[in-house]
Amino acid sequence: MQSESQVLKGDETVQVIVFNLGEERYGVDISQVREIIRPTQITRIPNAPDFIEGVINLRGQITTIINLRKRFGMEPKPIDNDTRIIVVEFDNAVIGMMVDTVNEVKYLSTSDIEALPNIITAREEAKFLKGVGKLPDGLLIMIDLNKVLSEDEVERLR
Amino acid sequence: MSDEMEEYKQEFIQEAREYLDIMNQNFIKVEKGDLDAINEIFRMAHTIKGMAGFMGYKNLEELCHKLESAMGKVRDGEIEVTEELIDVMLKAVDAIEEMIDRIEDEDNDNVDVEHIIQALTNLVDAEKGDEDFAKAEKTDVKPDGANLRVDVYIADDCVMKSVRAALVIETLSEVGEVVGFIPDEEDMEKDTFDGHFVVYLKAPDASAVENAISNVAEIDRFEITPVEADERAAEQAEAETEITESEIKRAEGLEEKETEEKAESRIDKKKERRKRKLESIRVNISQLDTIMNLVGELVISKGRLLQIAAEYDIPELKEAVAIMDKSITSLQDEIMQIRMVKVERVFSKFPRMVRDLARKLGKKVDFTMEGLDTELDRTVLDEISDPLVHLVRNAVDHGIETPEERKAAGKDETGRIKLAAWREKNNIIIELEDDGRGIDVEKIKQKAIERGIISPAEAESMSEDELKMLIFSPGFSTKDKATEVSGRGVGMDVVKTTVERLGGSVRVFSEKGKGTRIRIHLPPTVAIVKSLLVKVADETYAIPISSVVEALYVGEDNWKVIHGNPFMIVRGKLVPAFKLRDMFNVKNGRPEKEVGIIVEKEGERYALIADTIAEQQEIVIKPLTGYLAKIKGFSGVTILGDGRVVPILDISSLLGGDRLA
Repeated sequence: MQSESQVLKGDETVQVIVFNLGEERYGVDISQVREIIRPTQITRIPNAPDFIEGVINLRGQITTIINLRKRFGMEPKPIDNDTRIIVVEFDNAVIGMMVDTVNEVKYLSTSDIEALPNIITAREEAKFLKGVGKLPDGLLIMIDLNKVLSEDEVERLR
Repeated sequence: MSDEMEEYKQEFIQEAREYLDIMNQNFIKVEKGDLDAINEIFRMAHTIKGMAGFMGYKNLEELCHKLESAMGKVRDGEIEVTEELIDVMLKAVDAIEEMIDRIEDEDNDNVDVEHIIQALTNLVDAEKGDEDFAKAEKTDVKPDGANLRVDVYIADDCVMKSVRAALVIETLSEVGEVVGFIPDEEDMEKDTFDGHFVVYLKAPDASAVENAISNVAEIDRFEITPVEADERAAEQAEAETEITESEIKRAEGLEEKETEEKAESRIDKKKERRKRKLESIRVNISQLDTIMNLVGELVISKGRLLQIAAEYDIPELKEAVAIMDKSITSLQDEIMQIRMVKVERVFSKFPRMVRDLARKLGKKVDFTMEGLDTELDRTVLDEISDPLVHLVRNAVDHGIETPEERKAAGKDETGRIKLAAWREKNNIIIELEDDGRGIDVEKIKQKAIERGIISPAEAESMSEDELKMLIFSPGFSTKDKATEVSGRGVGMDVVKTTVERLGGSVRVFSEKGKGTRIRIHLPPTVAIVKSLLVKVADETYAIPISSVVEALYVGEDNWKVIHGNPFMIVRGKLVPAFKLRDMFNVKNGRPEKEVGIIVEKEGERYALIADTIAEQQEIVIKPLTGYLAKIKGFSGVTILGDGRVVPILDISSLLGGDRLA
């Protein structure tokens, strides 16, 4: 942990995509994101885990859509005009993550990202939390999308 | 290693593997007394030896040489064919295989084959064994009987001239008999080799020779000239006068003629083989898969265009789309055809496997195969390969009894196993039949209860057929301990799940003491399937036509609820019904009318209740990945013409495990 926070303090700029889930603001490193799309027709797959919204046809590629609200244990919210899907590539599969809104792309100096206290990151369900970014207008929860998706996380959920 | 060299190596490995395959098959034939197969093996060993020599794999070269000389002895009748002899030779083939693997992985042939070479040397008598290897090679270089002299000049910029030369010689050996070549292999390998060499050939058709060489790359030019025409004519005249000389001589002459005819027919066969080869090229499998995927995309786009054309009602557009539809359909048929491979590709390894296994277990097995030409999609065949290996091993290990047991049971000491494949309507059927001890239903029942697969109460209510199917349950093994033979790799449950995943089904027929027959139904292709699109509220699902028997409207007269379980009555029979609406938790209201799709699974019929049938169309299966890969009830999804994604039902996993609750 010690070494990681030191790495974070190195002074580099990262591009962060900022999105909302309810009142919370989250940030994700742009290098993990392939594209951001508006929701198209989502086909439900019966008997799939609860947090899986279904699949979409992304230019001929079948893409699984995860409802990030449900994944994070929040109350689901109907799809509206602001709803966006953040498309990431993970383990050669393309996966979309549904969020309430995508606001902007922010430049963040790594020195402005602070590691979370051990007491939080040690908890299994917080594994994907990377740190907290400090912006002039408030805090930003940085998440590691790859960890949101990791296989054992899914296993654990079952 | 340079690219060219690497390419030659790959070519060499690929060819060597093919030859090994053929050798393996031929050894089994030799054992059964087919002496023609010896020549074939001899030729293959010789070819591999030649290629190995050029590539500089000395161990491999030596081993092939030994094998070749031993085969020569067998051919000349100096050594008798015994099981032991075949054992040694098969070991040699295995060692060659190992070397090829090593060459591929590590680029060396360092496999310890001392004992095999020793065993082979022992087979070949001392005199011949001492003969110098190179000298043996040189004795080949006699233009005896050659009718053509082929001068080949390899292009100056060719990097590995000696390998190219070997390829030319190899190519020539397919259109005729290579009697000899100058310079010899050793000299060709030297730096001084300028790329010009001469091959003496006995070939019936000079134009075939010309064709063959012109197909080899990096050849600057070549000349084909007839040789020794006079001498040959003289020889013939001599033979003729001899015939008139005496009765005995005539008989001999006839005999000669006969062998000549044989030789001719052999050459004809070779020519035929050559012809077939010319018409095919090697294509990388991944490229084929890419093309297949692209065709899949095209089929989807086609669906979309057809829909647009229907909406706009422009005659020209409609016509253009209709023509395109036709072309795409043909393209799709063609590509599916290209992907078809003969089951022989997988079956060919079985005779050897059965033989080895039977010998190891001290059993006598007569293994026969039928329908080797039956074609299956490559993916299906690849998937089914391991399960088949398991079934065949199982038949030898568990099915066939020991000779003593068989004798005691009043059967022939030699057990029979037959593996057959054929096409039946839209299915490919693979059937494995043995005349062994059969399945003991009582024993299965006990085992299944012991292992907790079924409860005693369940066991009582199960039919014999259902009980027999239990051998495919996970965690079931009729022998107390998995033997080394069958306990490896996949289990019987994997056989069933693999087949079902491919959209097929397995059935088992067996009578205690008489034998077992396992029948596998498979769809010939998997990627594109005809499906029924059904609607449940506003959701659409696809059901592969292959599992659909018929569809009927649900009415009062054919719907019955018995003890809380719904049934449809189809021609007087009760068919268990399942409402897709309930299975998939569809929330929207009930429709006025419902339709029952009657499907078949393991010979049993079930009714799936949907709202309506939308249409029937060809769909391209796209597998579900990640989180969704393990979801039961769906084999994948498809994209319709309008871009919508539709789940495809997988009847076997949808309707639960082996038995319905």
